[in-house]
Amino acid sequence: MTRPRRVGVLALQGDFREHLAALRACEVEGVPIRLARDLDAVDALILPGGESTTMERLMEPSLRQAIGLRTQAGMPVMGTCAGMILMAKRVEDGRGDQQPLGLMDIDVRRNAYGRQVDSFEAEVESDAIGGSGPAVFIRAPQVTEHGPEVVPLASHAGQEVAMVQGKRLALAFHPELTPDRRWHQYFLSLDGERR
Amino acid sequence: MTLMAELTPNSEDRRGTWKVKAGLAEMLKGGVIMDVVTAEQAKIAEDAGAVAVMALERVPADIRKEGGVARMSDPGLITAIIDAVTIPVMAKCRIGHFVEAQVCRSSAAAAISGRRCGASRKARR
Repeated sequence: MTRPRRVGVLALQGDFREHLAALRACEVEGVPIRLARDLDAVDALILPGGESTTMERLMEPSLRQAIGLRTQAGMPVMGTCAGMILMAKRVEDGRGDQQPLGLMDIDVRRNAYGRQVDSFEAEVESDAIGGSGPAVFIRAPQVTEHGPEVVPLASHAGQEVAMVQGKRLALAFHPELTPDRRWHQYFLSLDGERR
Repeated sequence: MTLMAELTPNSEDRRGTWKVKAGLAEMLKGGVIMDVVTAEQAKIAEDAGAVAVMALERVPADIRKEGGVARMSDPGLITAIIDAVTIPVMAKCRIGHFVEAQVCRSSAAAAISGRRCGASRKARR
């Protein structure tokens, strides 16, 4: 397997432009994904930050299905903040009718740190990025439970804030809002050689 | 309503920075922020896929119709709307009225903006 050359970013709503810019900085082509057929052209997918309820409503059933099938077939997926909520198996504290994509064996609680006044910036340390890096937590979610195949990569204030399951990476914070590209580089390394 | 954070971040964490404020706006891009005056309307907006709601005392069209001035939202209304939805709730206060802005913040509104408090066009005429 090689490093992904074209990476899709779910572009229904949220900060997908920041992810596309981060991919450019990593010298990888980013492709906005709005419809199921857009997925054909990419070898990896990023689910950006935004409002998870809105993204769920804007996602066509065919795209939802295609993301599930491609992920099962081994496509690497990264979710940041709302993207992490979309990747979860179950959402607590959200709306009763929220149906996440269930790409990872994690349960997620929305707005776990409180409201916007409680949003914060912090330094998060992880072997995945070879040290400590800036992280922006905005109305961030929290993983309340995870299955045995899920490997925690970083924790902050006693909470696991980054985890990986196979080629699927979930981050509670926004690496795309910082100039540090190591989390994106780590994601790109999941399907090939580390650069 | 959960005013206090259930998880306490480290003391060296930086809150209220430009990055977390501008970052919230980044997350709302490509979405619709709906003006609402009741918790029921806020729910309808969330069901329809709004990324946020703006809790207003009256919407501009009603101010035009009825006359009068644009005022801050009722703090009780802001908290009722926050309790009704999971998306961010914004509030407005009169420009330059810092205490009103502080009341909005204490009501845990996600974002606060200024409202022109001059009489509406119709009232001026």
